[in-house]
Amino acid sequence: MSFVLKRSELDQLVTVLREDGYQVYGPVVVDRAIRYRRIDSIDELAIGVRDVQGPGRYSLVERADDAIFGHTVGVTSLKDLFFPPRRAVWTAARDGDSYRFEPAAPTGARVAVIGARSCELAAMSIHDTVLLGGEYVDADYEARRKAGFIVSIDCTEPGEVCFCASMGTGPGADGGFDLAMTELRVDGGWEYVGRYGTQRGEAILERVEHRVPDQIEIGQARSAVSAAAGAMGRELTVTGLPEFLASHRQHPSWADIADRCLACGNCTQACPTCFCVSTIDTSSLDGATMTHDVRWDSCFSLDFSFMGGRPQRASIDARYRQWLTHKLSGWVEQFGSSGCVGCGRCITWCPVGIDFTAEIPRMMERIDG
Amino acid sequence: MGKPSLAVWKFASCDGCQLSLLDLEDRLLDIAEAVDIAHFPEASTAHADGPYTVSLVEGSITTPRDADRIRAVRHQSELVVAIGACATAGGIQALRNLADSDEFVRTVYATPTYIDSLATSTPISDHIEVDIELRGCPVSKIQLLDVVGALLAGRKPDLPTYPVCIECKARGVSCVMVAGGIACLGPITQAGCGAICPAYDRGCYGCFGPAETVNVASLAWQWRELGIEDEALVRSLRTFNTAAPAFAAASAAIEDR
Ligand code: SF4
Ligand code: SF4
Ligand code: SF4
Ligand code: SF4
Repeated sequence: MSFVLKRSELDQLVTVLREDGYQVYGPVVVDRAIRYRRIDSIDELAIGVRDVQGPGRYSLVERADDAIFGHTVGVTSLKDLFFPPRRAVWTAARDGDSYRFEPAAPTGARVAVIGARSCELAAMSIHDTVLLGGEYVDADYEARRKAGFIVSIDCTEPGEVCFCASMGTGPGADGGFDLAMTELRVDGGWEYVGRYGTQRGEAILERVEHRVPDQIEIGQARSAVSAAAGAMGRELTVTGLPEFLASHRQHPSWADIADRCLACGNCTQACPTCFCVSTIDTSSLDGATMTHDVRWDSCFSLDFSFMGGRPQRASIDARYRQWLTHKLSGWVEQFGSSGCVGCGRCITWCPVGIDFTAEIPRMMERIDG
Repeated sequence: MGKPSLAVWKFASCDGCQLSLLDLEDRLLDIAEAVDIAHFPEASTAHADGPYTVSLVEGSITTPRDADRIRAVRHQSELVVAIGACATAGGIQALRNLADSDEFVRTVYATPTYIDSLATSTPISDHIEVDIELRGCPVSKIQLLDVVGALLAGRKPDLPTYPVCIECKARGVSCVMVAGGIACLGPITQAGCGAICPAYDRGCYGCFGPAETVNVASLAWQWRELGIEDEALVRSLRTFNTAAPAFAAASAAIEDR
């Protein structure tokens, strides 16, 4: 089942979602980069811009056309919306000589995202496994996920740091969306050739003017996406990679990378799958109330491995190795997939441009050579 | 049991950190409710003698008299919290540690003999045992309030030692260095400010001093890539936290190269 929207109809979709009480988010240019931000209309989206990304580099340039989704992933990801940087887990209030503990009230927010990319859907499905798949369920994440609505956009112009094709996570979305679309230039205008992911998606789209695409349009959309698969800016060979990293905990490259690594944690914070947090307690001055929050943390922070009276990963080598081997090796054992979806954020947003798609082949060569 | 008492002391400083305390406005009333403010010259001339439960100390030690005075503060205080870059690293006035302070005195003052100052500006922890340090020029109001709350509740204050970058990303700010080519000290500077400068499209000035891990050599390399000379990095390291050991060592190492 599929549909086509004109640009004005895409705007209607935003209106319908807002009528249903969704806070609608989409890729917007804020300061110098694209990030997810709340929108009231598609006019606010990052129209007519393209992002130029590279190791430690990011800039926006004007496009020759006014495509809405003519860019790749921004600095923030769905993680920022569904697994926010800080939130309460429980609160406590004084009750006589004791305290009464309450789980934090679940967020009432219903978030709809327009323009999520397939790598991000893959990252979210990884979060589903990590945060909902085990014995302990993250109730806040679960509530946000259940309430969320996802409109995904296929990528037709991958960027310089993209390698979703290597990771099997893109450039077109297979699932994890309510609606998915491909933006196509047709006769000087724009068409959004779409498909349904859920019944909820179908029900929403019923209230938006649309028509049924012909086979030519569906074919055009498919071939734009498959052409994109061959235009990735980077690649990563994943066969044997988990085993390679697991068996090279001692390798001269770790120290070389550590010379450049700032242990700043930007890679983990920008990564859409990193889920590590620490806990913080706050209390009112009179001691009547307390709050227990979780806040994003990183395996690059020293406190993160504080055990037995000292940080277990004191050197930058050890911390970089933890990040990379967890992401690309330990993750497979732990959660049944790689922890990387090939979005390239850790490459772009590393202030010194450390790029593991270049480091890993170099490491392998050093062993072979 | 009486209320805990709080004293605020000033050493060589600009009063900015004490102002941050005053700037808590409505929350200040909650503080006054929770503790007896025994000594706070910036706010009131009233003074109650010690001992004090908590002393907040602003400023660095720059005179022999202050070196004695800070020991007296320690004797009267159960807990000492050093607040701000001056108290935790010697402040901007520690630039004199790198120069001939006698020469400054001779140049500036008509009667140099009236001046009785030390050759260096040093943090409080060089003189007495300090229980908690709050970084920043000025300190973060949120951290200040949190520390008072933590001490009252007997819990751990929330003072992360990781770099500003972590707060930058948590705030959804992209990165002024990556997206703007602007020099930023965030990767080597301790968090706590909430990434104020990058949120206003400026590079971090390093006012919270060195983060738990600093790799200045790599940052210098990146700044050079952005067309910023080492000399500028040395100057950036020699501001509010010039004498903080990690910054002092790094700026000296770059200069020696
Ligand atoms: S490891 Fe890097 S490329 Fe992979 S998902 Fe995370 S940020 Fe994206
Ligand atoms: S790479 Fe580091 S921050 Fe990311 S999930 Fe693994 S341990 Fe956590
Ligand atoms: S790899 Fe880059 S982004 Fe990650 S901690 Fe090191 S310097 Fe920071
Ligand atoms: S702007 Fe500065 S503090 Fe923020 S991520 Fe970039 S380097 Fe770090």
